Amino acid sequence: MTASEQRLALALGVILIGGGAFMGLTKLKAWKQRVDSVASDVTTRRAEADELLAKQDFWEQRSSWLGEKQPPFTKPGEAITNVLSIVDELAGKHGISVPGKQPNEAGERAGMTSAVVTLRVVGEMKPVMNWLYELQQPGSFIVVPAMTITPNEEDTAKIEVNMRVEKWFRLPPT
Amino acid sequence: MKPTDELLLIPHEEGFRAWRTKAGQMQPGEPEAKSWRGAEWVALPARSTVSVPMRFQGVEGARRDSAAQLELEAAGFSNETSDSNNFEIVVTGAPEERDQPISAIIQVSSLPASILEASDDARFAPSVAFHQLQPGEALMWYEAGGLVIAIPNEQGSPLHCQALAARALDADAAAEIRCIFAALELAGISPDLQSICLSSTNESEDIVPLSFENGLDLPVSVRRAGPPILPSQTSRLVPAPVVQLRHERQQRRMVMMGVAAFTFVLIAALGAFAARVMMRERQLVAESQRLDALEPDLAAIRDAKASWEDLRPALTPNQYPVESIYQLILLLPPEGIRVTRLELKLDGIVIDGEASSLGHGIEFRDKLVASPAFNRWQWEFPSPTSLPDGRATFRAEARPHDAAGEDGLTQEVTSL
Repeated sequence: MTASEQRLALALGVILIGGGAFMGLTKLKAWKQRVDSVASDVTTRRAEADELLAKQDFWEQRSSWLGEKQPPFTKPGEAITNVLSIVDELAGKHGISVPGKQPNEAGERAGMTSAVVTLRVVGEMKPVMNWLYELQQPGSFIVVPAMTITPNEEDTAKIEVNMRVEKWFRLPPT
Repeated sequence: MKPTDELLLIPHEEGFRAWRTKAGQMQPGEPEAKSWRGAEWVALPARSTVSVPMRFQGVEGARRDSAAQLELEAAGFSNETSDSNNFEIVVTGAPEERDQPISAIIQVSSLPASILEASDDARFAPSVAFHQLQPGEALMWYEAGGLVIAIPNEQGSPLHCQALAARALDADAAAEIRCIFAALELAGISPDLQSICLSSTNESEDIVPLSFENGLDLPVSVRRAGPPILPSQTSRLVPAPVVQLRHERQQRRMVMMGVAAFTFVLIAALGAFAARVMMRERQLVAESQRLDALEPDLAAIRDAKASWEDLRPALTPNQYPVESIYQLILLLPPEGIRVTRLELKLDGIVIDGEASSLGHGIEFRDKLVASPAFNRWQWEFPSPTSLPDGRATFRAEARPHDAAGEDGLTQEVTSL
């Protein structure tokens, strides 16, 4: 190989090495970016998993409590009847009247369904509050998502309560 | 070990001729010059060199080369001795002797271009080194159209070698040889010569003219030339173009070495980078597989959590409406404030009311906004509106605070 051929080969080699290095670096950079993206996802998943696993016993305890205490759902009619019977029973106990009872469409959530009733309650302040106190207990699984209290126009000693009552039942496992 | 073939380029009468050693035997090589590339040995013609015999007395061996170089500079060869590849000092006696002859050989002209091209990696030596000399016998041969004479010492090593100005064996050649012998004697070098031998390569050279023989005091014989011999020792003589060629080749090799080293470092760096990314990717794959294996457990925990969150308004007493009403009643003064409408939702509270005076209204507002019981709510409570009869009306609206819910978590009921 002559000197000029060696110089030509050297220049060609430098170009090939430079090009190869550039292409290799570009591919490595893209690869690293993909790995960084995966690392970010894995970090997020790990943080969530660590947090959940740290409270695994806590949530399992609550889940088992719900499974044990939450009433099972049988039929829609029975659920509404169950709610209205509780309302009437406590109303009679505390001497208040419930002139308005309007069943509504049931609510749905994961593994749960609800019996929904809109009520209009009239009574004195203290019996109504006692009724409300007994109606909504942790073991009754009743939610009052909306409630309005106004003075009764006919009898100012009484109040009128318009409220929406939801009782949540556990759906049987599918 | 099998001997390797060596190609020798030796000057003869008609020019350079190739010889090749095969299995230890010297054989004539290819006549074409283009097949001479990669020659191992190249003989420097006697006309390309100048032999300067000298004798030093009482000079130590270590200083002999320096003394010889000084002699050469004094003789006008300072330019030729500036490059160490251009001259060679040959000690013709025993090295430990303090009184001995020395032969300095200087290159004075270059070789033909075809020979230089074929001798990139060759070793160079004067042509006399390729001839077998006998003690007491001066050897003559034809080289490049001229005559060359070599004078050996007592051991048969070349003491002096010189191309003659005479191109034929005649009286002038004999006179020139006598001058050479006289010059050697003047230099203190007196070889013990008994004869002169003419090394011939063809029959036409076998005849020695009487004019030449009569002009010498020594008998002249003719002997058919044999194949060349390999030099007994290497020489540092290298023609300047070959030195330049080797220097440029060395520079190219250095550049190539640099490029190779840079390439190696580059590949090592990229490899290390790739290995690091690959290790990280493997760790991530392993971690991802671990998380995938945990997914059933995690899904169960998520479902349990979601179910509880869905039922939080039913399970957290301090979020019950009755609790909010109770806390509101505690904030009401014995007189001066009347709530005319109270609306409670999961995502807000609206209180409409009347105050007996503007001061009562403002006082109630301050107590409500600062109440710890309602700290999960963010209140929007404008100043009460004063009425003409001195009373004031107010409207307070609340929506869930961003930081709300922490207290609710601590007061959740987990058992009945």
